[in-house]
Amino acid sequence: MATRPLPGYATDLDFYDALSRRDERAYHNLYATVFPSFQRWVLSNNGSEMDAEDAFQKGLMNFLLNIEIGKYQLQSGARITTVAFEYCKRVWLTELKSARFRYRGNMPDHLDLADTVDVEKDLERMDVVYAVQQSMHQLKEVCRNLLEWFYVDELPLREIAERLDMKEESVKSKRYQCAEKLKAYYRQTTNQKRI
Amino acid sequence: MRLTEDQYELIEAYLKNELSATDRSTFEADIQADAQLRTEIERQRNLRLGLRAIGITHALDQARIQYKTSLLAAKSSPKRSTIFQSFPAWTYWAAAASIAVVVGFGYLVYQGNASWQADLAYYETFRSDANADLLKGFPAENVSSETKVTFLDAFKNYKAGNYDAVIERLKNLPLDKQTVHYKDFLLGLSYLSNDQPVEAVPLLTKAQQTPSPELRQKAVWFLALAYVKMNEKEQAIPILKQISADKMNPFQSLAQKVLRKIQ
Repeated sequence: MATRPLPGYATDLDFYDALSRRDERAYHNLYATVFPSFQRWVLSNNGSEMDAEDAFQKGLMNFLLNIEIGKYQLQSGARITTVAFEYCKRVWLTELKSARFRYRGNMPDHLDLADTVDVEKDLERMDVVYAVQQSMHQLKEVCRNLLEWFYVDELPLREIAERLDMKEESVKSKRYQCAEKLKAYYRQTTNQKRI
Repeated sequence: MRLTEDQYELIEAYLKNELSATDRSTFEADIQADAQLRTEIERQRNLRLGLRAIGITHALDQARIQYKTSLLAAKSSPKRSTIFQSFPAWTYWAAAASIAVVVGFGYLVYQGNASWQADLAYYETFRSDANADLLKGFPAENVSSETKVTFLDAFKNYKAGNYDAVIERLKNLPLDKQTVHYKDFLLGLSYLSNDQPVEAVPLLTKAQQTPSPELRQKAVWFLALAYVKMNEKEQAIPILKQISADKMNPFQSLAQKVLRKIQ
């Protein structure tokens, strides 16, 4: 496993663990370390500052989601910042390939497009994510809060019960009802969009 | 298929890998035999993935804001040192004059800090509402298809960060009773996103007259942020206090955060 020191982290493994815990400092560190060089790379490859920011957000989202669900596991000798850069780079290559950007012409000859397939699959997964996000917005405030506190902020039921001034058992039932409502909205959204 | 609470909890435990080996293999046999159950599990897995992604998005937004804030701070500090270096301390008359200058400089630094705090509060809490939230309060059922197309086009541009295009499209849109409040809101929000808070204020003020409580809450919140951006605390603070006191307001915790920064 990599042992090179990182700003704020003794090894890449420490950095990886912090990212998998969604540690705020690790996220900031990753953003501040990778974004400037990625932005320069996009600017020199037919992109604007806005393109860079967009591809960077998408790339990091995929990378961090893969870390959390165990699809990406740190390999021996790998450097987190290099892997993150690669994820973002592939997003931009996919964008360049897409119809939206064809009209711009000047596709750089030296860019290797063969290995963007995985990224395309990851980006397709984002349709599911957007559908869930959209469905969340259709929920009433109390349900949205409850589900966010439980699933996003990972608060224990006891704490949510205190916030809502309810019994823990009632919160558990409410969570089930809210999740079923969310599922119904999600089903509608995915049927409409044919996801 | 609507699940019972027990079925829902069972799927949750299965997806979190919390079932015992025996329970897991029994449940997997059920899954093999039941296509509807497979669909439900897939759906619940997708919901968990989407909710996880929401958490990552929030954390990434924070990282982006921190990064931009640190750039902002880095940009503002050299200016201050330039001002300081421009006062020579080695001549007698300049030393005397510097007393007055230091008082003036102190004021400048104070003003700079106050405005920097406001900027910080603004960037830490301003979310450009670029997700599906944007559609909340839009009277989709009562408008003509032509108006719908105009707004859909505006949403698309807004989400892509083309605020100038939204402003251009909406500012000359003929008055329409159904969409007037929404138009004021989206136009105001676009000006604010475009770093033009002065233009945003009258529009967000007008948008508060909407009958939609959700749109009103958003208009009030972004109006407060526009005042924060302009460093007009005496306008921003009463609005932020009002939001902070409302337990049901979705912007309550953000308003409390801004108040802590600027007060």
